[in-house]
Amino acid sequence: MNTETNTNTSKDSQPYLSTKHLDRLWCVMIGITLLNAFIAEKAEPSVMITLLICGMIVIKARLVIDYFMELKEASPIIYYLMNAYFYLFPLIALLVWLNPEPLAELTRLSRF
Amino acid sequence: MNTQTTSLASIPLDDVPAEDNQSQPTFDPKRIPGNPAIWVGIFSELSEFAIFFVIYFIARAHYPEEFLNGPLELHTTAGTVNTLVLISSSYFAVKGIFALRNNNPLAAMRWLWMTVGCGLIYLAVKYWEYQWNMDRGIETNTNNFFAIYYYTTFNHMLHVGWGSGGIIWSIFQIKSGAFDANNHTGLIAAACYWHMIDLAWILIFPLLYVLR
Repeated sequence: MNTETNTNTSKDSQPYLSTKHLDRLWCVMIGITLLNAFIAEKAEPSVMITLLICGMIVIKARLVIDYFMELKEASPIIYYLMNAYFYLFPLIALLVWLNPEPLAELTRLSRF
Repeated sequence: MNTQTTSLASIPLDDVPAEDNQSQPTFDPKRIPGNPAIWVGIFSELSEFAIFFVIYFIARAHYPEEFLNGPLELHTTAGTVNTLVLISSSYFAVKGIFALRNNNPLAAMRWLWMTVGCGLIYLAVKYWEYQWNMDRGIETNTNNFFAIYYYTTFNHMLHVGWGSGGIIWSIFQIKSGAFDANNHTGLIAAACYWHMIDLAWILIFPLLYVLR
C-alpha cells in the first residue's frame, strides 16, 4: 500500500501538477454534493434555492466535461454539445419551476 | 497569445503544465477522447436520458403537488451516498488513466478496481434504497413522481452495471499488456462512458431528491 502511495506521489503527481488540480476538483464536487444534501434536508422551496440547485448542476457538469473527460483539449463540437445539454436541462428545470402552466397547457391531452 | 495556444496544442496533453491546463479551452478539432464510436454511444445514451427528463418536466408541470412532496419521501442519504460514490468513481477512473500515462499499469489497475468497487457500492445502495421504499409502500404506481423516479433511476442503474463491465474489460486489457502508456484509447473510451453515467446522475439526483 505504501509502495503504491509512494509510486503515485512520485510518478503520478509530480511530473504533472494537474493531478493535484484533479484532487481539488474532486473535493469541490464532494462539497457541492453535500450542500445539495443539506438543501434537500433543510431548505424550503424558493427561487434562490432552485437557482442554487440549477447552478450547482452546471458547475459539477462543467468540471466533469472540462477536466475528467478532457474535452477542453478536444473537439470543440463535442465540447459545446455536451455543455449545451448541461446548460439546457437546468434552465428548463428553472423555467418549469418558476412557471409550469405554459408547459402543462402545451402538453394537455385535451388539446389534441 | 496565439503563439502560446499553437505551441500548447502541438504537444501531448500529458506534457501540458497544470497552469495551462486550467486556462481557457485549447481545442484540438482532431482529438476525440477515446474514439468516435463511443461518442455516438454517449450521445445516444444522453438522448435516452433526455427523454426521461422531458417526461419529468411534463409530469412536474401537470402534477406539482406530487413533485413537491415526492422528494421528501425519498431516502436523501442513499441518494447522497450514491452521488458521492459516483463522483469518486469518476475521479478514480481519471487517476487510473493518469497512472497508465505515467507508465504505471499496476497503479492504474488499482485505481480502476476502485472505480468498479464504487459501481458495486452504488448498485448495493440502490438495491437497499428500493427495498426501503417498498417497505414504506412506495412503488412504481404510487403516483407520477414515483413512477418517473423508478423508471429513471432503474434505467441509470442498468448503465452503472454495464459501465462497470467496460471498466473491468479495460483492467484486463492493461493486465494483458494490450493497453500501455502509449496505447490506451479503449480505456479512455470506457472512462468517457463512465463519466457520462456520472453526468446523468448529476442531473438525476437534484431533480428527484433535492428540487421541490
